[in-house]
Amino acid sequence: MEKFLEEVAEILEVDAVSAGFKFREVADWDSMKGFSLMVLLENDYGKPITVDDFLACETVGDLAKFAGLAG
Amino acid sequence: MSASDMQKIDLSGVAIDGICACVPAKSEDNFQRCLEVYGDEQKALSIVKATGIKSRRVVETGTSSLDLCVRAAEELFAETSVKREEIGAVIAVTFTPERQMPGNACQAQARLGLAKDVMSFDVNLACSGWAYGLIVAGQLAKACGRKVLLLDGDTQTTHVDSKDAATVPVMADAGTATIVTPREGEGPWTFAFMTEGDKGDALALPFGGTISMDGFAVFKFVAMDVLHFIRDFMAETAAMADGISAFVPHQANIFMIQQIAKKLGLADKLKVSGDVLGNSSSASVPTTIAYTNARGRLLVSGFGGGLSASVALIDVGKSCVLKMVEI
Repeated sequence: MEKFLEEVAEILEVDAVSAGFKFREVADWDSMKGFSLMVLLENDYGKPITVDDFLACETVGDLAKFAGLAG
Repeated sequence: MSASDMQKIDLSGVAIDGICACVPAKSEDNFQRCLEVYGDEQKALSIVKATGIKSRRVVETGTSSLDLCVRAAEELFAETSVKREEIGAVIAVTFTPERQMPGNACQAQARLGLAKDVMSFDVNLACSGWAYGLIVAGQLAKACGRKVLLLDGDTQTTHVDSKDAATVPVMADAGTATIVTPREGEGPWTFAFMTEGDKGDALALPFGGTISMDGFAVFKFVAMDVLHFIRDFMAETAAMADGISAFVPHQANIFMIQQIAKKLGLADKLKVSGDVLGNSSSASVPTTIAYTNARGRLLVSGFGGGLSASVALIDVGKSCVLKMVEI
């Protein structure tokens, strides 16, 4: 989980994130960051996510659940 | 594909005499254009920030990919000592030729006043195309013992739906000319190629239609498959980052190429022109070499329509002419 939080923070270009962090509220949120998070799930965690499922995720914890990590 | 089953092709005994890129003089402000497409200032700002593309070069109506490439070639003949009669073949890489028939290469032979015995033909490829053209040009230069003129250019903006939010904010136009010459003792250059034709619909231009792009599918192809492909190539060729003078990727969008460069450990070697010139398909690689005056051992890579990708380690020597012109 710690590694996942670091990877998400890197994509969002912030120092750190918590599981409760609403990732779309980060400054400079854009589609490229969204794409990068989706690729992180598929490429590094082997969990492809559909656009609809991704849009339903609000927090970093929601993404972690998709990655198969305990919330 | 594992690193060990990657097909690598070496090419020795060729060098580049010069590369010239011709871009349209008209520069379109990307924020203003995105504002027209989205009608929303925040959204337009967000797109400009996300892509990292501030402006794009766009042809005036009536200017073709052939016009851009011929202008670039004329400049190369003027700026190098290469004589027109030294050219043995003309290859035009484009998916937006001036006409479906005759192709750009045949028309370039006439417009540039090249000999009749010149072999002239087009290669239909999009963003991955320059390295494909380069390896064919290199092989032909060796086979015929003469120089080969490689033209690479597209006018993508004439094939874009002016309201399409996926393509309008990135696509631009450019035409380039590269002269490849047989020269003993040069190289080797090393190439590798990748094709995923089953994903072809992700980026397509049907007859009579406009360019359609599934942004996420293309992003995924680049961020996953192409990244691994380049990484494997670097491992196979033992091209450690400090042996590479510059990394010149297709200027898909600035965010994407910065991400790739970072993951390859090449962030400080990355060359960029797309922030001001836009994404000009396969011409973006030679355009970026000319625009940034990139020399030495270059890692070049193109990726996009096909879906198709290329990667190569090539040399651009000190005496190679690098030029930019406008039309």
